[in-house]
Amino acid sequence: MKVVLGRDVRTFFTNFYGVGFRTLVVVLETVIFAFILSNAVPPGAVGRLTYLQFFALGSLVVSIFWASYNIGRDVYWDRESGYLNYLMSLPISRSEIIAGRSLGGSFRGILTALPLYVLAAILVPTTALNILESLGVLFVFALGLCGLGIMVSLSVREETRARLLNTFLSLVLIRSSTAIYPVVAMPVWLQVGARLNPVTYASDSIRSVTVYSQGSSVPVLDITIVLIFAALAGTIGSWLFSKMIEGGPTE
Amino acid sequence: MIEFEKLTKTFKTVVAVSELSLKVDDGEIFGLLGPNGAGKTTTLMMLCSILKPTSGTIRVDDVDVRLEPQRVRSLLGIAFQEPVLDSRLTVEKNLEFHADACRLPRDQKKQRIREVLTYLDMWDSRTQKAGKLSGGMKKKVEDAKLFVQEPRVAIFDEPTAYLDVPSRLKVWKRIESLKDQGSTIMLATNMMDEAERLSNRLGILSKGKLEAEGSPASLKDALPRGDVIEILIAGNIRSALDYLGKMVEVKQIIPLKPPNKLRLYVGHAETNLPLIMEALVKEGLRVDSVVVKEPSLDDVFLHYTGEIL
Repeated sequence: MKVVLGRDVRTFFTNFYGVGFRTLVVVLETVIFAFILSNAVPPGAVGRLTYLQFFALGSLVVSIFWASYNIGRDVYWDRESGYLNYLMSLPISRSEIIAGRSLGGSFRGILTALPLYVLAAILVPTTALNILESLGVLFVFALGLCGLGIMVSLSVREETRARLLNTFLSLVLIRSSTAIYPVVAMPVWLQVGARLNPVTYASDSIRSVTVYSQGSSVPVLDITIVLIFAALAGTIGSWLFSKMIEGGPTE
Repeated sequence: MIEFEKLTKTFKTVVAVSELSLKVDDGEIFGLLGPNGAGKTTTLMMLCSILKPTSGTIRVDDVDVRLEPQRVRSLLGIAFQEPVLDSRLTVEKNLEFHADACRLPRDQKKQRIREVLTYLDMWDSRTQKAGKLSGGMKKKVEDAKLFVQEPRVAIFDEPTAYLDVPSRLKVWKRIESLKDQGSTIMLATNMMDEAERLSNRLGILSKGKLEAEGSPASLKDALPRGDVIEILIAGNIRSALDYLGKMVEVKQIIPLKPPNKLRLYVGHAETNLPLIMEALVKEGLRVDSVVVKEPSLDDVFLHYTGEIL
């Protein structure tokens, strides 16, 4: 499993400019977009946080989303290029391949988020323990995202269709959540969508966990829903992955 | 020893491999010879447990591939027909990944990668990303995986496709030295010279069926005695076909590519060639070239399958 996980982490950094550029975009968005918008959002609209703090913590979830969800695209590419056949010919068990890919995607997410944590820590008063706890929540959420990404990518056989579906789903899940804006700013119909969206629970729990030592309570419900999402998406994604492996990808 | 017993694989309605039974001895190079679509790659994929057989069994050293796939995979390695490399990683990192997955000790890994890449004239390209390599270089890296791994059973699927002549010779030598070190080699190829040079024994596959099996020499011995003449004719090939077909001296005629080339099977070329030439000239046909050959594996393949590779 270590070798599969290692490949995912290693290949992630071969795209150094891509990773760096994405991080820079998020930083700029926080510094410019969120900073300007924070003047327009009335105090109290996002709880005890300012909008700038709210956005900085939400952008951690967005970054993780892109990095981890995209492991599905890699799995799709492995299948199409024959690399999966190669992996299956190696003395590695099928479950190690599946677990390795999921963990690889999660680590990619965490690695992407790490530089953004520096910015978040500057903007949001927190403790090292709170950061570690929020990383734990994000890691679990990333596992679920990997499962979701694998699930979607393996359900579609045509590359363009898979890419479009992935882009569409990513946008819908992020934009209809509380990652970027608070639920009170949404129309009622979107609030309903946001409440059914796992990204909302991940964003809310990260915000609460990061600042809970300052008086916020532990978001038990939010974390539970993140755990349920990770278990469900991870299980279905792994099941689809193992089904494809056992059926033989070249059939 | 590798044993295939009544191995069958069907894809929906297509029978890719049909009731294949075969034994490959320890330390030999066994060649699977056949055109594209004959079932060679499918057979090898089942051996590596990438594909599940529809029926039948494969055993490697008495271990059933279906029951203990991971144990079997720890004994073997495969170099695929189409190179399978991570295009984002360098040549060296691709080989390191393979060595790590095969649990090669760290010091051995480094030393073997260096030695193999140097042997294949690729040491200077070690830091290049695999995606930037030419087709031939990718193929060499694919083969290099097994040269680094030195598995107990090494499977090569068309190991010298896309390679230039010097590289082909190097790869052949290395496959032979793998065998000398004790590896059992399974080689799928549709190149006669490769099969003849490397294989101790050959299996001829056609449309998923094993048509014949034996050493290259014994397979050639099974052919009807005689010689092979290849003639390039300028002019109407149809009338030449009709005319030569009526000659009792000509046992069989096969039209080749280019379309005005014919392969004739005759008893003795020395006595029959002048008669054939005379007859063609009489018919007003010009002969551009004539080659007299000993029967080759090409002819063996034709004999058993009725097809030309």
